[in-house]
Amino acid sequence: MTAKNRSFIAPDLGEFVRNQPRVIPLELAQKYGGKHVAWSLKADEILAFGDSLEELIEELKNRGLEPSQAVLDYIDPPEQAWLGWS
Amino acid sequence: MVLKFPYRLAPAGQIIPSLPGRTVRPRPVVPITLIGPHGAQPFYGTLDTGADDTVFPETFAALVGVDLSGAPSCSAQGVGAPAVTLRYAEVVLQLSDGRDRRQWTSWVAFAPLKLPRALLGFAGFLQFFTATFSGDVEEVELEPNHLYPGI
Repeated sequence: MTAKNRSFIAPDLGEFVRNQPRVIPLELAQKYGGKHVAWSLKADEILAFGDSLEELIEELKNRGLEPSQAVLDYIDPPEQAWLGWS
Repeated sequence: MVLKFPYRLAPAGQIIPSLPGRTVRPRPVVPITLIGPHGAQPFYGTLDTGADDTVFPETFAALVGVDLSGAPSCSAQGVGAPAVTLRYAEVVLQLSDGRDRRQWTSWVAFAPLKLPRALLGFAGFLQFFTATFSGDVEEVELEPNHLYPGI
């Protein structure tokens, strides 16, 4: 698959990367810990959240938002360490 | 050009026994865009030198128009988890550090798992970069190597 045969433009994440918080505030982790969230492309707002990716995508669509116009993320619950995927 | 990504600092809400004095866990997670025939989806991924493949949740295949019926497959297993079947497809990946942007075609896996983030493993991702994980400054540098197939 090449860029030539695509009929859409992928969002530019340059601004998102420059603005994304390096440190996740504890308050945000306490509020959204264990949830899937959708950041705005400016990284200044959480547009929607859900208990699963599927629920998050549904919530975005319910709000009239295209999932492709958001950066999907997962907020780690405080006090949880990761050892690998399971 | 080298792409640089500071580690994300995730709050632990307490002093971490294995990181004396610290209350945040540094994690090498980066936003990446998965591009398929009919769409693109930005998503966070974990740079994972222990992962053989680059893996996305199967949910994303439908989002970007990847047809997994008849796709080549392979068995895989995570830490302490039962084996699952991965299905593979060729996609485009796009990565930006806010200064430079890279885009390449690669074979990635889709897993029937509730992955919190994509796994950016060897095949499809790390094989194309010289990756330097700097534990002191908590930053990772990715420099495209001679195998890098993109622009």
